[in-house]
Amino acid sequence: MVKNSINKPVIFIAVLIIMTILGDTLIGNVLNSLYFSDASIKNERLLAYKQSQKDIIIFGSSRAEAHFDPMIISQITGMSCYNMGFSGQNIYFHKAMLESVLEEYSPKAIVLELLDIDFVKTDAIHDKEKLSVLLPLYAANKHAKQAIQLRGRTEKYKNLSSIYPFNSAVYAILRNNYYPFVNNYNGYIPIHNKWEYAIDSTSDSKSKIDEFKVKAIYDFIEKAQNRNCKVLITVSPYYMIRRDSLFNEISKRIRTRFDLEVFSLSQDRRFLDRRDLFADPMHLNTEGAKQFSEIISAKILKLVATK
Amino acid sequence: MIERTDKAIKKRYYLLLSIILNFGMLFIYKYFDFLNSSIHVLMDRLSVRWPVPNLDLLLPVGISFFTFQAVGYTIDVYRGQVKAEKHFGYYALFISFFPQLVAGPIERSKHLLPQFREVHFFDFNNLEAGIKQMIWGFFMKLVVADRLAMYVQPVYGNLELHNGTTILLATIFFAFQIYCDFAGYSNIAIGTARIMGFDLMNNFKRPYFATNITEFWHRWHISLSTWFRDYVYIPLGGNRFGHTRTKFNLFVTFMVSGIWHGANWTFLVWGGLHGVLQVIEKSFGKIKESKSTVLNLSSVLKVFLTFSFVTVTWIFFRASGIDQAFIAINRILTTSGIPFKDANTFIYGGTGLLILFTREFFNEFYPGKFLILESKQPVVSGIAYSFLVLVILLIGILDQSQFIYFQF
Repeated sequence: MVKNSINKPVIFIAVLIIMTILGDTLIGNVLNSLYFSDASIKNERLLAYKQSQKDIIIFGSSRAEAHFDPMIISQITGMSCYNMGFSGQNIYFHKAMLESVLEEYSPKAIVLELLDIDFVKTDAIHDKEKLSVLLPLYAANKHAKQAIQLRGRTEKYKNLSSIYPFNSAVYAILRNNYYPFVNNYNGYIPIHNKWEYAIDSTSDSKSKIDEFKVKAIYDFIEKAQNRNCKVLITVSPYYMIRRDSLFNEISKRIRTRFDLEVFSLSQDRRFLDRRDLFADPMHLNTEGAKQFSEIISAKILKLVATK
Repeated sequence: MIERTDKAIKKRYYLLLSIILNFGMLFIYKYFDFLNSSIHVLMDRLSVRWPVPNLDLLLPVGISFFTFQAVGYTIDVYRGQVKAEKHFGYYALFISFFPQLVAGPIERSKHLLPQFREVHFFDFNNLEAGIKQMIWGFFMKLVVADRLAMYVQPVYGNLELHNGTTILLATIFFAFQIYCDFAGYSNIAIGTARIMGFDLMNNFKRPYFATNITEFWHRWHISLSTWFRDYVYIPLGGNRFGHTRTKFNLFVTFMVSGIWHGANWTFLVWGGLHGVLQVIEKSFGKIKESKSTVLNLSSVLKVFLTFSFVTVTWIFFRASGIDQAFIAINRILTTSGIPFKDANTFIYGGTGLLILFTREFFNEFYPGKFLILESKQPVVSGIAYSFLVLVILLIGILDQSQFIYFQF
């Protein structure tokens, strides 16, 4: 009787452990092969570094994603362009993506659209936790692995699981393989609506500079310059009156360290007076992105022409 | 001291002193700033300068839970229901027993204290039962609660931007988020204690299958609702002094329950609404609780209505202020605004909800017949729970996140 009462729980625990390990290995490997399949590489923007050996690469958050139209930039500059902007991400992500690109080749020009989350202290949920999007690349890409390890010391243990890197990615993996999300705009994700509300104002007076992020910005620029890429740091237009003392501080530091001017259209009147060019106070709509891309193209042309 | 003295008046004096000390600490940490700010606003309106500043103290995690546990113990000693614990170590362990320290279940002294004096041996059966309960708790928390939170948070953070359908969906999701967050924690706590050989009280019994609000409170946060019943409602007179007094006692108890949850008018309104709804139910006669095995059109309709009432009250619980709660209610009835379509929430959250519903439905209406997770065969249950672990790994939110009830 006593033996039986011990046997049942032992069998339960043994089955639980064995089935979990087996299931984890099996499902993890299937997801891994689906994630890196040809169809996925074609449709997954995170894997753009593997397939797009373009002349100009754009990095940044959702503002990069929605503001830089590679078609227009290519038309004007005569160079191919890919927008690797990624919504919600900050400099740690952009740096990992740049390193992944540089592992493959050296683009002619690198554009980094700078946002305050790239250099101010933010909650973990808006910061390193966001790097979970890189988890599928943990085993395959050493730069992504380094970035993921910024999330915490437990990441290396969590990644012992074969499923964990693909946590919450099942839908995207299946969609990319069987119902492709086709982006015909080389990474650019246009926003079509028009903002209808009055202009607001904001100030960064409560924010503090995050020196780890600033170091990552420096690394980003250095790595690109070391590979002879021309670097352009931009701040695209906002539909809000901004008092950006920290932006000015960072721009000054970059200028001093790299002799690099941050090209800011943050408060440019061509946009600030035109509500119809915005989808919301942070994002240009398609028409705004068109006008902005034209301005940026001229700037890139000039930059690439310099020695 | 309460136990040692023979004089009733002295006993009462010591009890009062203990209650004042315990609730005094809770008041300073949790309610002082709320009261002070409210007075400040009132004085401003009267153009009177109010010089007392807020304390801005960091709230100790789980203070409401361990304060209530301590007060419950003192009252039990006063009533002679338990003997005073003379060993400080056992008493300290009772107040700060780690599995349930931060978010309950709020244990009763006569249930938990004697367990600390028992000798506990490692038991494989406890290990199995504990692991099962913990896995289910993690499933509720990581797969359902945290996933739905990713929809609820942005919607309730920007109520003005979203359309009615989105806000309605976010409100329904919040009903499941808070249930799975809190019941998930309770399951993890009970499971952890079980592995060590301790038995903690059950805190939830499929509350959204309740057929009326009274029954809902017999199924939701049971350790708190029974605490309020024993230490607030009954001392107020319970149902011993006529219908009107019973309803008044009920209403007061739920107002206190509301304010227990947090120093904000939203919690007071939430508690008040539950009090009012129960008073209305009482006015319609004796409430019959549904037998858990009956499934018919009438019970389905009652479950739906009760869930709808409870969900509406959650709006006040979730909103950051009374004004925001009314914005949410107003906007639910409109079509303007942006719809929030998030495939991940719908697919992964929907999967979690389906598994949750299936298990709870069968346990409610066909107990003992959903034999996959409840199977007595260790191989079958081992496979079933490994499936849950894999689901957690596949679609759970595995980032750092907190439990909602930690703030209380």
